[in-house]
Amino acid sequence: MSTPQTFQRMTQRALKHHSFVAGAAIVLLLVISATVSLFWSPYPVGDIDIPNKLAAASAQHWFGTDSLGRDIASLLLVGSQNSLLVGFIAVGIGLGLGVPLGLLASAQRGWVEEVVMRAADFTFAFPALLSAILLTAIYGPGLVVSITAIGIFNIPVFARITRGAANAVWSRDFTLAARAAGKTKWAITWEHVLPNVASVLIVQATVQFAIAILAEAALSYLGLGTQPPNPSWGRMLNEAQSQMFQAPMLAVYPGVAIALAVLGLNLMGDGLRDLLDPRLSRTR
Amino acid sequence: MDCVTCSIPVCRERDKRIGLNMTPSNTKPLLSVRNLRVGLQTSHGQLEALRGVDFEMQRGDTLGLIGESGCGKSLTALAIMGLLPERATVSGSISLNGTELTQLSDEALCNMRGARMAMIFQEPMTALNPLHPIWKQIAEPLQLHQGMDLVSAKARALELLERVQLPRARERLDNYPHQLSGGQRQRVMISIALACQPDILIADEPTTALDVTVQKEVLALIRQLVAEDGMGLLLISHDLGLMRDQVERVMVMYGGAVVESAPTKDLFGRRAHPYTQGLFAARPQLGLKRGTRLQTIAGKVPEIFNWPRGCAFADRCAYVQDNCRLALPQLELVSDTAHAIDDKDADKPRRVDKHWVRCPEWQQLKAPA
Amino acid sequence: MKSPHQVLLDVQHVSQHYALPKPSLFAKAGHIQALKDVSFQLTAGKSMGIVGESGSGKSTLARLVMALEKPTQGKVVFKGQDLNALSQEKLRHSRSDFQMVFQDPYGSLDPRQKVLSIVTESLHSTLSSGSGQLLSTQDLKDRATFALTEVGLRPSDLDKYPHEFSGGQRQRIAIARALITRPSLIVADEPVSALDVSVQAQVLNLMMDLQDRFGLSYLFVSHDLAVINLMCDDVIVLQHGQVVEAGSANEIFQRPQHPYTQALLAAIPGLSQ
Repeated sequence: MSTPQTFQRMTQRALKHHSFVAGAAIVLLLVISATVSLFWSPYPVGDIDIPNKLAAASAQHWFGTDSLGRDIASLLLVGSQNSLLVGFIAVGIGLGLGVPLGLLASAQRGWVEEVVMRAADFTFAFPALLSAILLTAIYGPGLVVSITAIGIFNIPVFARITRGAANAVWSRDFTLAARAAGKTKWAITWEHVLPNVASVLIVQATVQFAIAILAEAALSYLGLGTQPPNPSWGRMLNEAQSQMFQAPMLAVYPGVAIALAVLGLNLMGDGLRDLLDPRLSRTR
Repeated sequence: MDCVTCSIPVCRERDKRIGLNMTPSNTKPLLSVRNLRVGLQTSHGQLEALRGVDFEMQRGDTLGLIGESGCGKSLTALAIMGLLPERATVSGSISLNGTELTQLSDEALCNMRGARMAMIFQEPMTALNPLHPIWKQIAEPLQLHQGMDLVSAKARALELLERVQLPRARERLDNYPHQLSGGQRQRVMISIALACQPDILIADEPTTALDVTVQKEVLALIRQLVAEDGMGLLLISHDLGLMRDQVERVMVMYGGAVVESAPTKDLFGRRAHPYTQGLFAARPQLGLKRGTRLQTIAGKVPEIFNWPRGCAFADRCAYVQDNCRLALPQLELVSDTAHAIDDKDADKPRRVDKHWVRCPEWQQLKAPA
Repeated sequence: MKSPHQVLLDVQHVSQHYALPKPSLFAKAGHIQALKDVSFQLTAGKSMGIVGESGSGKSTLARLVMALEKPTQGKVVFKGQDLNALSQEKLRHSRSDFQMVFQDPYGSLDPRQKVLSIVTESLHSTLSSGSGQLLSTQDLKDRATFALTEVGLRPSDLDKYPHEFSGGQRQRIAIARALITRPSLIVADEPVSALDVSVQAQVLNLMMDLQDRFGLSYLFVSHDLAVINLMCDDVIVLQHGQVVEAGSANEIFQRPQHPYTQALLAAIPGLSQ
């Protein structure tokens, strides 16, 4: 069975897995929304239309308007760009820095492992939100700062997970065989360990993506994330607070958007976990 | 009359004459397995993993089930215990002391397991719960099936540990599995199995994971306890030498069916099935000269989704005929005379001492050099 | 060309300690002595069996011979060179001359790599260092094809993944991997213990054929005395890290002197004849 066939079989199995399909569909929706919104949205997000404020859902405004008359549908669409951006970059930072640290710790063992793991513990000890607030206090609020804060917190997560999975791979005979063949630790890490931990990392990445979206929403809610006029689901929630009794739907729309994104990613992650791990290490 | 599932012509009269379905009417068998078929749901569709297993055991019998990977020996054990995966389909009859196990509800089966039938497994480290002290694990069946309270159960656990000759049992009661050696863990597993004095003990490769010196002790222990309690023992292994020492009767399995069944002495004296012959010949024995090539069986074990319609060994057999591939061969009686079936033997007790083989060509087999 | 009586492997008074994890921050770490003062010699073209149960140190000894670990004391001398005194470069280069086959056919092959990469693994590192120039992709493929056919597999198997093979076939792949650099010594750590009896017979026959064909020497680690008797000329028996008996296979199995060896022989099932 060559690679194209294996891929085909995997896709077939993937399509039969309910969680994965549901999750992937939602994530796809998210991605499409964000892509589309780069070129078009029903109304420009900056457009303030006070006479039309707090309008109910209608043909012109699919989800109505907010307290400044802005079209909610457009805000949601463009806001998805934020969420995706945060997710990608924050997880990217986590993968880019955390994975090599984890691999290093696992390959070297001894004091290197100790140092890396204790540094991870130290970073974990700081509540993510507090560190974000700290950073924004120093560098001022904004999208970049919040992405950085969330990204930094992803590093120990991936370092820990990588190191645990890598340790399990090092204990298997084929790494010993590679050493007996004369390969250096780094060559073994790159050629043998990394491909075998990849599935664990992929699953974790989807989980962390969801967490990143939630974290960004929290920061924006607090006013520390994306600044106006750039729309953000979290900030929409905050703005909806004051209108809680006049227009409760203002809170529902962004809330549902956040929840749906997180749900989609988690479902996809669950599905990926089932699809990637046990089958590939099939025993007789 | 044809078999419903696979259209093999079935003749009850013939089976009766050979002695398959007959037990002396005054002794009810302890365990009776008739035409056990198990179907499994796999990614390749519905497959028949067991193709009609028949055997009987009386109290005190020791029966060995031998075969290589994929032959269905572990599956047979799981089927008896009712531990098959949910989507497995079971047909045929499994009767323990007159109770038909295939008809029981899940709850009723749970009541039987541990109490009337017990199983010990190959790897004691994974079969024991690493988070519970050993006395607790032994007490569990006692509490469950005999309603004992914790104090009496703990006391009984100590008795059981002493019975399985665990050194310093009293001190070890509170130990966790990881604090014991492999052989000691296996003794703990035996005491869990025997806690409620079951009628039958199934041991699935109980010593494969142990050192050979420990293996000898543990097997001797099992044999002793089985004899003391008058239990039936079903011992599953891949090791022929083990069978020779431990059981009175051996059944050889291949491709989901029993291909040969005989008292141990008879089997070691003469093999009737080409596969059994190949199995015996393939063993490295201590007497062989250095560098002797072992006799191998050509080809390899077919995957379960590739089992031929007839005899699973057909593609590897030197004596194969066309009709071997059409349908699973019938069981035949092995004896020195060609016409072995003799009606005047019909009333003799202990019919199970006969040597059967599932091969129409068994008489062509050359005796080993 | 090897002279018939050349000493291929000379293990001299090798001992191995492992430090146990510290029970608490200030307590001293305990030690485990896996091997104590083990010595033996292996002649070119012959096979040596290492017999022992779990905890005997046999796997540790195999790893020391393969220079995968450094002994706490003693020397491992291969073809006259002290393996642990060599530089990393020289050691890597010399590895083409001694290779290993592992016990677990399911763990010793990387499930994410194709058979071609698995089998040619030693060719990359041992030839690209030192004198050799890198082999071309076609050369690698040719050598791999040749190795596979030597062990009874097909050239089309190069493109497959380990999970597509049975246990016996995987062990053949592992043997092909060890064979591809034309080593003088193959260390086999329980190579057939995880295989069915009929498959075991096929693999053992293969190993004997390869030995005849290529003049290999085996260091055969096993707990199965019958297999050792079949495959090996000389035997050492290990118990708790020490050599309790050593000699030719015939002597040891027919006239065992040490009570432990006698106990091992007596414990073999099915011998009560």
